Amino acid sequence: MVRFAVRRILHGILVVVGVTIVVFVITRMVGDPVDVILPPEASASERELLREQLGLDAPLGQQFVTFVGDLATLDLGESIAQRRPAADIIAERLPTTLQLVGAGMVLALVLAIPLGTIAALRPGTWIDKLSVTVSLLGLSIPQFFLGLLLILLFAVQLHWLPTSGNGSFSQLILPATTLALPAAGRLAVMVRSSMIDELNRPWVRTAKAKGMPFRRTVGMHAARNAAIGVVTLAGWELCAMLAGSAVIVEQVFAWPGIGFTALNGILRRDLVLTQAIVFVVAVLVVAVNIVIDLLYKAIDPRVRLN
Amino acid sequence: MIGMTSFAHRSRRRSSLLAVLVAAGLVTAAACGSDDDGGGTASDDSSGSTDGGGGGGAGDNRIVVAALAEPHSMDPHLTDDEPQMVVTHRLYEQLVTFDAEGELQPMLAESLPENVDPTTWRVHLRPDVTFHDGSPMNADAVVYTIERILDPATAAYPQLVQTYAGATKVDDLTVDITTPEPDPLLPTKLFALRIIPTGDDMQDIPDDVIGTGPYMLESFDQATGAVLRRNPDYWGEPASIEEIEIRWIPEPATRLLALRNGEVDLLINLDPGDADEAPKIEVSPEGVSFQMIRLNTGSPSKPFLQDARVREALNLAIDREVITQDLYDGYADPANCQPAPPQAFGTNPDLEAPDYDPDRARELIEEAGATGETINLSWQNRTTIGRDLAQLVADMWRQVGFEVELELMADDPWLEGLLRIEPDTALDAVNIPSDNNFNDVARQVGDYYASTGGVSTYDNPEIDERISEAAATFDPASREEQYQSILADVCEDYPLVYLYFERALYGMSERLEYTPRSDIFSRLYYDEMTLADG
Repeated sequence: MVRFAVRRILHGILVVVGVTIVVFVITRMVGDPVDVILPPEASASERELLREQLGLDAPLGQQFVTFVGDLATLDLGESIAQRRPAADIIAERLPTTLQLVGAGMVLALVLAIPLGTIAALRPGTWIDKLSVTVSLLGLSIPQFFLGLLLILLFAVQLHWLPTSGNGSFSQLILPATTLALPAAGRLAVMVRSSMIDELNRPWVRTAKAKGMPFRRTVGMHAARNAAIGVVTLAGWELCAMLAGSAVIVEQVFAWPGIGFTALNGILRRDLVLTQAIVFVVAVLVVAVNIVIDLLYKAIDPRVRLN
Repeated sequence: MIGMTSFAHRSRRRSSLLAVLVAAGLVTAAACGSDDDGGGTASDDSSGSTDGGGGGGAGDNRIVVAALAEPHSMDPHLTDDEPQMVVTHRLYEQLVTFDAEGELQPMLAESLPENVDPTTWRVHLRPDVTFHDGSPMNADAVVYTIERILDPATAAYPQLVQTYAGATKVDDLTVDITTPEPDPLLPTKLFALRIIPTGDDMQDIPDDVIGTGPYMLESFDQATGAVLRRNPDYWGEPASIEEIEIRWIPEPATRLLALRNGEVDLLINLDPGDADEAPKIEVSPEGVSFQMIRLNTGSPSKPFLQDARVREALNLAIDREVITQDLYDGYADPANCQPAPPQAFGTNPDLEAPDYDPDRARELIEEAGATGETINLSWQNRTTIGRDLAQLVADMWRQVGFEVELELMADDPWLEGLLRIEPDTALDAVNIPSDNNFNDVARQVGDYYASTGGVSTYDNPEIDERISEAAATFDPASREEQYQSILADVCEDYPLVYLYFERALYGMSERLEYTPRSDIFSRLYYDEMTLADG
């Protein structure tokens, strides 16, 4: 187990390094940040001055060496736009995103597991069809549109909830829901199909024949085996939320997390901040994957980790 | 999809139908009643903010402003970007300001700067002005401000740094400001100089954010917003509204919904297409931002562009009524043959927008032998309205006999293209958005009409000479005359296609009263706002 974990961590480090190098290259290939920061009419001398201030006048190779050296000491650099350490900015915003993603993930599971299970227990009935329909709905609506739709309905029409911002619980509800619904849809379908597979196993039939109470059968024989698929997908959903959908949802709801910050960083060509956020998110995604792998062993002792 | 295979085909179709019906129901429910006024009073618990207060509520002497983005920094010397301006324009003050008519007026100075010698200006300061922390506004503060800007450690933005050479205290209320080279524009450039107290190093936000303005910074959260409080000891006319909360809401649709929901009182930079959705709108009296198309006047590969008749035709082909009335819903005016809107100093009031005359355009093009030629039109791919405008222009040019290849470009390639100004590599035609940031035509004339301009493809030695002369003229009346004459003459040569001047559009709640100036939209004059019920 320990050997496995160590190997996975080393592998994870390689992934993180690779991702960060790619981002470094791409952000510098795309264009000159100075051109974007200054108005188009700025004079050549103004551009030179800014380039000097930002350390962008050094040759690319030298910039890369500095970058790698800084990373090795976990120095994430100074944000070009905000002129303060990127690490500070991330430390301020990451908890806000984690709060949103945490709430979203919990909500997704709370919705998906019962929905999928009920459908699996009554396959082919109207309950099953309704559950699948709702799941399809959740995962088909584009999140940007869904977010605005929820604001329009629950804030503007019904005045039940605020439109945006963060700080109070009522402000968490709509963004967490927007984040959760597509994930809940996909998870519910996975729960349902995994459970149906497991409930059709010979040993479940045996247990029923033995007279075992159905609830215990489901819990003991079916659920744990069904969990592997669900856990895999849940891990994927979590990573997708962190690295992707959080950006959209945070933008729509003015939720000041790391996704929102990354988007601003990209638009303002804040290379340093963008790189730093990608690095941190890559680390988180790798960590989630390692945890999921270790969880398998906990769920199913037969799994051989290699 | 896993699990679906166990379904009969028929029930899968039924689920899909059900899905569509439920979706349609949701959308209808939400959209139903979207025509009625979504604004008005909101229930108190429906608005959430870091301060807990909402935008509505009679008797509340506060408003909520929805800003586009968070400021990078609250240091007025580090940046002057629009997000910062929304918070600080009436917090920090300058020695001079522009009044509602666009005329330069003294503010922290008692009178406009005097030109002592070509590079030295003497400023007499207004007495009895204090900063928000109680310290006096005096010559020491002005000298400190300028020296701080010139200190490389401050990393002040380039335009600011390059304006000043230094400052010396003459007496407690008199300062001499020097420029690196003779600069008739220095008084106007002082508009960008925000005075801070002696010794303020801007390290602690919000404590170090200290100015002389009618509003003080009460709190600042980089993530969510800022709160301004009225300055009871302001030296001038006191403001009416006690507290102003500024929230950053980057998504335009969300901002609009917040306005309709009564959570927000003021929304800046409202899209013309959304004007009907706001409870109330106000428009700036004149245009503030504008677009032009820069033509490669020296193009060796497209020699027809060197012909002024063709360039005139490209202007005559544009139906500016359609652009201003239909595309911009009446919130724009045709551009009158110059690269700056009417209230900028030095603009020529006698110039008129080129006519819409496609027949004459076709004639000119035939005369020049350019019928059937291809023009590459490059346009920044930023907004929907921008894309629509690009299509419109391309079609209008096609109608007078050109083949037009329209290329929508992402920010970086577009910027790069804009900066390529050599005749053999410059783009045929590219859009240039701009705004009236400086309220003086000197900058635009230098940028677009002088051969040395950073984005100029125009090369006319006679005009270059006249521009240099005008730029060195200290007498305002003479300077104005010279610029007006340059603008009139260059207009006849049509190096640009002049499109429109767009007004700044503000969405407001019913209770807010504010007449915007013809200033860029982020410069909000909070001290000129009042509440209907306040």
